[in-house]
Amino acid sequence: MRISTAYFYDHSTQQVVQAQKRITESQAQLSTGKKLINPSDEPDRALLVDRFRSSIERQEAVKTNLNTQDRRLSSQETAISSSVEVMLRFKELTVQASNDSLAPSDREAIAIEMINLRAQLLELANTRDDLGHYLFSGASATTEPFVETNGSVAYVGDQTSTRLTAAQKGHLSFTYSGSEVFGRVIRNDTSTQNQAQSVGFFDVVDDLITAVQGSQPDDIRRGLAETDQLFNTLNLSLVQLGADRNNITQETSIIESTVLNLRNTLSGIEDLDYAEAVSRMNREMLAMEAAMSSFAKSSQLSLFNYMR
Amino acid sequence: MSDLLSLGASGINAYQRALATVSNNIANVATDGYSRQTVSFQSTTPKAYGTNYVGTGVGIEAVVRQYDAFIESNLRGSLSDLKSQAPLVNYANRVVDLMADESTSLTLTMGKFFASARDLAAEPASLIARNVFLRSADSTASSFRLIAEQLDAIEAESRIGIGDIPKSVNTLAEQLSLVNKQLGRTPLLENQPAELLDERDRLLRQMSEQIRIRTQFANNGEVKVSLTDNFDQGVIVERDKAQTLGLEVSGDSRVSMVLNPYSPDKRETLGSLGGGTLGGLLGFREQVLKPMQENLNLLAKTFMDEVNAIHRQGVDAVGRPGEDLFTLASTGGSVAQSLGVGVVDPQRVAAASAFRVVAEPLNQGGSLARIAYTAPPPAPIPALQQVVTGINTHPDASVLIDVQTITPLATVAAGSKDTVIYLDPDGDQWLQVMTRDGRQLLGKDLTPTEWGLLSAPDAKNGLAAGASYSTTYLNDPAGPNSYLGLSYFIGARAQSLPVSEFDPQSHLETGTRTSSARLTGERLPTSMSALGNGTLTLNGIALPSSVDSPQDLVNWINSTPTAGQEARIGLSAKLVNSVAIDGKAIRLASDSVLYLNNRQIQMAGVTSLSDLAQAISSQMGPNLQASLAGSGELVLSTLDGSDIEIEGVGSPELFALPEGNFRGRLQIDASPHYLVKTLPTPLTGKSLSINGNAISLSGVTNLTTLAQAINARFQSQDVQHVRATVTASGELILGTLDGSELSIGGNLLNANQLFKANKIELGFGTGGSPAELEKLGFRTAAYLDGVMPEDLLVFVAGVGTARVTAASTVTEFDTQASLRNSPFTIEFGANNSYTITDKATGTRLAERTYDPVSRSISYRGLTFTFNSVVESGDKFYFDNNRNGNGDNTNILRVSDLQDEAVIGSYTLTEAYVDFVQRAGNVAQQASLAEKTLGVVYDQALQMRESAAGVNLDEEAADLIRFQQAYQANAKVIQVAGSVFDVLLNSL
Repeated sequence: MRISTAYFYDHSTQQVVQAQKRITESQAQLSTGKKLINPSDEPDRALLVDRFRSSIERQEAVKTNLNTQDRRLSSQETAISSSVEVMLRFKELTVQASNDSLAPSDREAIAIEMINLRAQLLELANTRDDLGHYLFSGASATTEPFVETNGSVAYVGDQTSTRLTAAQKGHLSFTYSGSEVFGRVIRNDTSTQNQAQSVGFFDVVDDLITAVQGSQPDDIRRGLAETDQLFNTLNLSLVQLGADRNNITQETSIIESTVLNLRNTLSGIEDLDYAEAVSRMNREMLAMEAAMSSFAKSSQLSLFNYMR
Repeated sequence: MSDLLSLGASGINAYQRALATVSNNIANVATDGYSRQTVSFQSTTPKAYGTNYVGTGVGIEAVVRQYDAFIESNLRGSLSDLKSQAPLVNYANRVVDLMADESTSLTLTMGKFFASARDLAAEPASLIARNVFLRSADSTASSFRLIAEQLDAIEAESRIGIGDIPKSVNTLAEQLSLVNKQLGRTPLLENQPAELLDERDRLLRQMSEQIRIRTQFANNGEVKVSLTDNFDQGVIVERDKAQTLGLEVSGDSRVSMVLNPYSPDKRETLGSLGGGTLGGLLGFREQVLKPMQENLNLLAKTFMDEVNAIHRQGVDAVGRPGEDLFTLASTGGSVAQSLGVGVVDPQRVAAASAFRVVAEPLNQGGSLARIAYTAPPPAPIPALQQVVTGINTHPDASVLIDVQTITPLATVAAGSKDTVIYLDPDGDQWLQVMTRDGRQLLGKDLTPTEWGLLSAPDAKNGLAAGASYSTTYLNDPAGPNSYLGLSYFIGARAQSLPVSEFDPQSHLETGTRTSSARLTGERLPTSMSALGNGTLTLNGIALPSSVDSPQDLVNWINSTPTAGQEARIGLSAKLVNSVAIDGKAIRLASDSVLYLNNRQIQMAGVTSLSDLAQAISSQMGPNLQASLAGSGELVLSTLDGSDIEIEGVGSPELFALPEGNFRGRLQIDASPHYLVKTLPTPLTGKSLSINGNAISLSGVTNLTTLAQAINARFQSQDVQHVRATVTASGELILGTLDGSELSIGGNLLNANQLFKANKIELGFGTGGSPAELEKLGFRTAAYLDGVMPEDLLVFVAGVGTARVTAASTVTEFDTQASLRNSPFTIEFGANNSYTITDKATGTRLAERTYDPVSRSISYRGLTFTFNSVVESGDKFYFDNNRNGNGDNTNILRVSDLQDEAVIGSYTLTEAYVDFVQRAGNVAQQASLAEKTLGVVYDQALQMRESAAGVNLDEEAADLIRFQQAYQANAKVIQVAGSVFDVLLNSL
């Protein structure tokens, strides 16, 4: 088959140009450190990178949210532990007051301290966080949970739990509403026909204070048993809180290892293997040099040179 | 001649030409589209010398253009194919770059949106988090808009690119036509100048870069070019004529090519054009751009609709229901172009759930409750409007229902307004209306059999699972036993209505007044038994046992009410009877015979209808009167409502009147009357005016004297018919006789304390039934006044065929809003029973049994789940979560949308990735095709060059050859000369 002169030149220059193109691409890869320069070079890979990035971001976001919740739980924990200490003091005072050898005036002194402690408890139950939202009112964040009317305290919040997306599938749920943490007590009053009655947290405390002020030994003994129950309820919440915080820590570490895995895989997909790229580029440069020099040589061959 | 000189000369000539051709080739080595020319030698005709032939030299046969038509057309074809891939690759890559790039990719943008929803879920009460969420929503919408804009820009660019093609094609066609014209001068191809043919081929090749062409060559080299694959359509160049190609963009930016766009008769729309740059651009638009724009809009719309649907289900920071989060800008454009955020105030972000359940803190059981809501499916029995179509409540328009013990009729859907259902019974049939929880509102007590049938587990009649039967609210809406404070009634009823008043001159509305109520029955049945004792009630008052017949009723109603019968003050009754006969049905002839109430009417001198009316009135009066109505009807009426019997004798067609015994109807009227029980004392400083007329109080000491004073005042103004009467129990009744309103002024009587009668209700007492009402000519209907806040079920009890008609207005009903406005309490009782009580009215909405294993309760689409044991006495409150601004249920639902399959079986992100991948695939395939076609083109080019290209070395060799031949021939001439010299010298 004949090769026309025009074709010969065109063809040769094309080869050189192609070699240059390949070198430019390799150079771009080396300078950015990524296999992919434009998404359109390898759309599949580009989209895969996209998906991995968004998975990583999503896991990080869940981790941030878990941290936020943990902070909230920590504030609740502080408030409840302080309440537990107050209740401990309450129990001591009640034991003191149940001592028969005490004079009524002594009991009145005890009652005064008890009133103080009750005020502390109420304040703790109505604790607010740094944004001004109540910790123990369920989801009604700007409604004060424990409201005192005519000397009696009632719970007016709700019990809606906060749910968060978990690391894997599903949701985690946290409920520490005032009516559970500062929970009611069931009083089996033998005097009123064995009817079990439900008594609120602060009503128990108030009844006890009244009993101490009035030196009523039966009611004081009853108050002692009930104070125990209040103490236990608070402790139970504390234990649950601890478990929840542990749970969060576990979830966080699951997320961290997942993210690590994802990042590794992502790097494998999008990062450049420098060794391979450098050797490739060397090869390509060699090829271009060869193309150029062979063109230079063969283009000089012409019959006209040999005609005198 | 065959002598040396001429032989040499022919050689020199020939080789000179050959050398010229070779140097032409060498000169044109770099000319684009040049075909190599070779010279073909031919020996000239030999001369005969005796029996021998001697050659006469050489001549140039032809300068042959090295050309292969097949190779050329092959080259054109592969060039078209190759060129069509480049724009496709370029533009498709641009689209993929745009959509998969880190900064603009929607995967990441939507991911950020859902992440901000999750952040808000972590701190729903925080205003800052709400603000961040709104900003993130805004940036998501603007990402959509950005991509849409960019795609639009690419679309415009591609359209401009396509627009350029007709211009170049037209120029080339023009030039081709000129070439054709030149070619047309010579009839044979071999005689055509090679350069002209090269020009022609060059132009054809350029044209095929732009668009694929089909060529047909004439014998002289003229070319006919068509843009389609046949020569019937799309011929752009024929002989020396060139057509014009134009571009047409249609509404949805579809592009089509038109031949001769400006000439109305030669206009031709070209269908499928392909190949070349044009084909590439069109292909890009069809395969990549258009689907991508459609998919982007689909994604945007789905995203917007899904998020909005969830957002509307929630409530914001102050308990208001959510609005659409995303809206479309009013400036129009596609969905993706006009997507925007509709919520500006961060407080309006609906993060919280619309419903809430709170356990009473003092519950003995320690269970908490959780609530979920799914819109409930419509009731299984079809709605009333579908069962009884139309609003005509006349008995003739009835729907027939086959009744077996107790049969479902219809559901009165929530939102139905002012519903009336008539039942014309065939025997002892009843309408039973109840709620879906078995609280019966209207009808008769169900027997245990009937309730058993209704509450069977597979009955599928709309009763809630576990519903229990209650008659607490049955037929008793007036007192504290009304269901949710609704007004409902079964029986025959008429109410006063507001009526517009018009000025007689200007016919403009001057106001409204309340008309008095009037209850009119159907014609009394021909035969009926006496009424049972106490079976019927009038405005709640049981009819006394003395009332057995319609006339008895009339008399009783018109009697003065006794103590305890205030409800019937102002009611009056009478029997009325009128028969209207269409004037055209009356044939007055000399032999017409008419009997009314068994008396023959003398027809002497009766020639017209008015004569007839007069004759009847004078002969049958004063009780039976006849008159002519304006519409041409003859109206016969009796003053006391007694029967009218019409008969013709012999041939009825002589006097074509309807025959028969027409019974009267009961008519009960209620005029507004006022009841004053005691006279307020002392009277000093008090004044009284009625309808603007002051009543003098001098001499008034008690109600009787007050009545006298009032009557005295109005007797002189008889036109107002104001009357005051004193009942036997010493109470004063003040009223009008024409039903008009009274306006009470002054401070003697407190208008609010006056008692008004404005409705007439004939209801059922003990043992009453629709059949009893029929005896008085009244139809029974179930009335449900106002808008029903929940579905009601209507059954028909009895046997046989019932005739039912109904009228009702359907209004839009939002179940969620209705539930939010009616908080209720769930209270558990002994033996796992529980009651749902409406908080506002105290109505017991449901009384059922709780299944402690399932731990859940459903009511109207709400599901309550309990997480532990429930004790008797425990209460749970359901409300609209007005202050639950720390609740994150709804915003969590928004963030969960990220994982939901909302486009087919793909999530939003997966769908986006799929779209981009498809475009990427097209780009990849085009890129591969480009490489392959490049190789094909390269080969075709090689073949052409091989056939027609100039090789300098080859030309150099030819140059030497012809030079040597020329030199040799020159030498021959030299030899010829020297031979001739020898000859000359020897002479």
